[in-house]
Amino acid sequence: MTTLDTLARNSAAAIHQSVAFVPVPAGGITRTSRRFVLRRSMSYAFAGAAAAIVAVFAMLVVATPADEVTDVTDTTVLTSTTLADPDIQTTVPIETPDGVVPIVPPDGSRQVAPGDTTPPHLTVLSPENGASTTRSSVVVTGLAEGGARVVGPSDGPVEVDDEGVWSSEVRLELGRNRLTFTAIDEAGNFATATVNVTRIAPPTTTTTKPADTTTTTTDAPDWEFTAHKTYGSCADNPPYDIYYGTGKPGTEILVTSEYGSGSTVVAGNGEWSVKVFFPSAPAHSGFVVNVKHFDGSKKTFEFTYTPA
Amino acid sequence: MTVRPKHRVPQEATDGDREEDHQIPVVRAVEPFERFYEREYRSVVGLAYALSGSRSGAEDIAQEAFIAAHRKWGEVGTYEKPEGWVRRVVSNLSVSRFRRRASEIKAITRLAGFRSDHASIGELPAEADHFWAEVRRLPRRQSQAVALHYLEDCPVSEIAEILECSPSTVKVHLHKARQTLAQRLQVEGGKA
Repeated sequence: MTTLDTLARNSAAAIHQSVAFVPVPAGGITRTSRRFVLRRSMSYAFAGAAAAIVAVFAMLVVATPADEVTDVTDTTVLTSTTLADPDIQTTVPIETPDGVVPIVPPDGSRQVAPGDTTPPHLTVLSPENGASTTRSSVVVTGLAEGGARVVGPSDGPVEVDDEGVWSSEVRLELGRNRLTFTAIDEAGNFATATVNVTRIAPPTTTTTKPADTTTTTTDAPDWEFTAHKTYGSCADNPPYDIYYGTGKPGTEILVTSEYGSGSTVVAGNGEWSVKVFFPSAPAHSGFVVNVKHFDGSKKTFEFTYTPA
Repeated sequence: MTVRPKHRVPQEATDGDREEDHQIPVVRAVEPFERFYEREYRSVVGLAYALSGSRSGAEDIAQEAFIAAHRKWGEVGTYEKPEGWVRRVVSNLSVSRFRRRASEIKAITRLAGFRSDHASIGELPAEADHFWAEVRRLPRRQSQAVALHYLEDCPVSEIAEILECSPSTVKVHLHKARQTLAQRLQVEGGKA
C-alpha cells in the first residue's frame, strides 16, 4: 500500500467517524423530507400542470387578509427575507414561536399559505452572476424543488424535470439585465433567485486614414491568419512538407523558400493547406520556409531534408 | 462498500408451477423505503460530505437524494442496487459548486439563529480535511471515482455502474486522480 493509499484510507476513516453520530431520523424520513414529499404527492393530486399554474398565479395576484385564514394546521411561522449574497439571492424561512404570517411577495402583495408555508428551494446554476456576453440571449439553468413551478422573464412556463433541473432561454437587452426567476409550490409558497447578465456590443476596431484625420469604425475581422508545418523534415526524394492554417477566405497563401515554393487559396471556411516540394534541397542542412498571407502577415518555419 | 444483501428475491413458485418455471415472470419484493433509508443514510451523508466539503450542506444533499429516491421508490426500489442510484444522485449534487454555495448560505442562515437545527457531522482532522479538499479540486468524474473507491470501497465495476461509464474509463479516472493527488499532496503512490 502506497503513502497515498494510506492517506486516502485514513481520510476515508475520518469521514466515516465524522458521520458516525449523525442521527438517522426515526420513521424513515425527516420532517423536512416529509414536507418535500408531501408537496410532491400533492403535485400528483393536482390535475394538470396548466390548471395548477393558473391557480398559483391567482393566489399571487389576489390579496387575502390574514385574519381570513381558518384552516392552518402548521404552527411554523414563515416570513421572507433576502440574503445579502452578491451571487445568489433567494428567500429563506424564519421560524418564530407561533401563528402564521402570510408570505410577502416582492411586489408587496400578500398571499396566504394554508398549512405548508415553507418556500420552495430555488437556485440559479448558470450563468454566473455578473457574466457578460455578446449574444442576444442566454440560457439560464438552475435547480428547483421537485414539483415546484418556475417562472422567469420569458413568456411561457419554464420546463422543470423530475430532478428539479430547469432551464430557460432569455432575450437580453444591451447593458445590464437583471433576470429574476420565481419558484412556486402547490401551496402558493414562493422563492426567487436573481442573476445579473450584461450584454455587450460586439468588439469593433478603430482605424485612422493617413490622408485626413477622419476616424472610421469597422467590424473586427472574423478571420485570423495562422500557419503550421506538418513535418519539418523529410527523408523522401523529393522531400516535401505540408503547411496548413487559417486565413481570409478567397485570398492567396504563398509558401516560398530557396529550394521550392507553392501557393494555395484560403477556402470558404477560412482554412487552407498546401503540399510543397523542395526538389533541390541540400541533405542534412536546414533552410527557411516563409508562409505569407495577403495582408503581409508572415510565418517562418525551418525544413531539413534527411535522406537515409 | 460492504457487500449488501440483494433486497429483492424471486417469488417462490408453487410445486405445480415448477415445470413452467421458465415462463413465470420473476416478481421482486421491494424493500421498504424506510429500512433502506435508515441503513444507507449515514454512509450517503459521508459521501456528500467528502464531495461537497460542507458539514451542514451534506445532510441537505443526502436528504434531497433520498427524497428523489422516495419519489421514485416504486422504480428505484426494484433496482438491483438502489444504493448505487442514490450515490449517483449524491455524487452529481455534491460536486456542483453552486450547490455548495447554496448550502453554505443555508449554513450561514442557521448559524445566525434563523433555524434551530445544526450540523451534526463531526469535524475532520486537518490531514483528512486537506486530502478531501484536494479530491474536490479534481475534475468532477475523477473526484467522484476517488470518493467511491476510497470512501465506499467500491470495486471498479461498481463505480462504473454508479457513474454510468465503462470500467476502463473509471480506471483512467482513478489513475489520473492518483497522479494528481500524489503530486499535490507531495506523497508517493501516483503511479499505482
